Amino acid sequence: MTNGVVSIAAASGAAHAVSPREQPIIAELGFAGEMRALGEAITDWIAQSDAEMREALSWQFLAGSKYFRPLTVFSCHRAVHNGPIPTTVIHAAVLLELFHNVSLVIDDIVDKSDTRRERLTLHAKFGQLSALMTSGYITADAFRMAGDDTAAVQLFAELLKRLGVAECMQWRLRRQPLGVEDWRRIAGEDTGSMFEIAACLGDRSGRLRKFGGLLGLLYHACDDVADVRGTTALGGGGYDDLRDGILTLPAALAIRDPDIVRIFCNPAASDLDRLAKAFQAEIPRAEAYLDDIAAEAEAEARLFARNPDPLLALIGHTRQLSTR
Amino acid sequence: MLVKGSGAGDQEQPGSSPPLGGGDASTVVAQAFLTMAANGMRCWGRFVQAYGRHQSGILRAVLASQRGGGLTELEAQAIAEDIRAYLREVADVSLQEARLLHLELERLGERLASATAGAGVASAPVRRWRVKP
Repeated sequence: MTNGVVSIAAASGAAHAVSPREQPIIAELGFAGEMRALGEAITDWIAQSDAEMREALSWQFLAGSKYFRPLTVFSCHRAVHNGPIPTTVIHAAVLLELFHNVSLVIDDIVDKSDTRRERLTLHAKFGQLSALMTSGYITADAFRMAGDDTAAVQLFAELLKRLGVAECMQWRLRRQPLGVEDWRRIAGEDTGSMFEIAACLGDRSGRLRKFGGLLGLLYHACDDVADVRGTTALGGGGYDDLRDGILTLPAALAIRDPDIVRIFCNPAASDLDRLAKAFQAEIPRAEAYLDDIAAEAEAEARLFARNPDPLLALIGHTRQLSTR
Repeated sequence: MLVKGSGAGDQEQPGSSPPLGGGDASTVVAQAFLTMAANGMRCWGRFVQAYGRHQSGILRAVLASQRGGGLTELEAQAIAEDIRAYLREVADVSLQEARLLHLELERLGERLASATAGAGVASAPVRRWRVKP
């Protein structure tokens, strides 16, 4: 164990590790072999990357990743197909993890976050120029590795476009008194799109695309609630969201109060504590909404998956994230 | 919120049904009509359920309209939110039921194709184009 992170391929010397929180779900789903193959593929890719990029790539991918998107890819495949996960699906999951890390690098720069998972972010460690160029390198090489899998190329292109749209939309709509339906639209384009694509990479028929979208929505919502739980006026997970007027799920529920609306749209530093408390008061309603989303996802899984069990396990695991 | 298991929760999996006997094309068509009818009724049933969940918002909107307004901005926003949620649910139900119908009809078609292929009805592929000289 190193820094609380367990190597998933210690014997092969792989640099990549899965965070302890994801160990139970990986064991439950029976994807230890696939996760090992994924880690080895990323290790090999870094080893073969340009020497100029290698240190930054190692730093970015060394952290204890949740690998939740690859897990979704594998689970969606298992939900519809019998037999072992094909190498093409594992390869697609690797590429999705690369694109996911691109989004993390950019997010950390935009949010000016110096740490992620208790480590320096890429731009904090190597500088913004290096981080931006590394994200471009990853994007280009991931598309190269998609090769002649034109369907995967289309899916990855769709993903990057939707993520860009989501970020711009979220930033443009900050500090506006919007409601839950608007939150749902933004979250659907953000995390929802990522998990939609994961579902489509796992099962190319697209039958589970809606399920993926709902799983991503649930993930985003649980993240929002967990951040609000951890928020204090002087820091904590949701402090930046408070300051920037980002529409989280608790915020969308809270800003039906005219006083809170006024503060939300134009917060002074002295108002943030009251805003945090108002959002925290909405956590029970937000939790109920999370249950509704989980039920929608469960319905999709049961209706369209040959074997919904892996998908139901994913939903259960995700649902618990609101209390982390 | 979509109703859990209100669709084809126990739908048969592809290839798990017994193959059709000869001359069952008309049976498949009849099954397809029944499937379409059931799907339509189920869809409308779910529309009604969605209306029930959002009835208060819809009625408040209707009453406000009849009164010629009189709502505060926040009241109007709350009603708008409720109706938007209702519209989204109805749209989701439509799409989900359409996808279910598509799946079910596809499976009927596969069963018919399996049956007719086994009966020797299908012959060698017929070329519909000519090779360029």
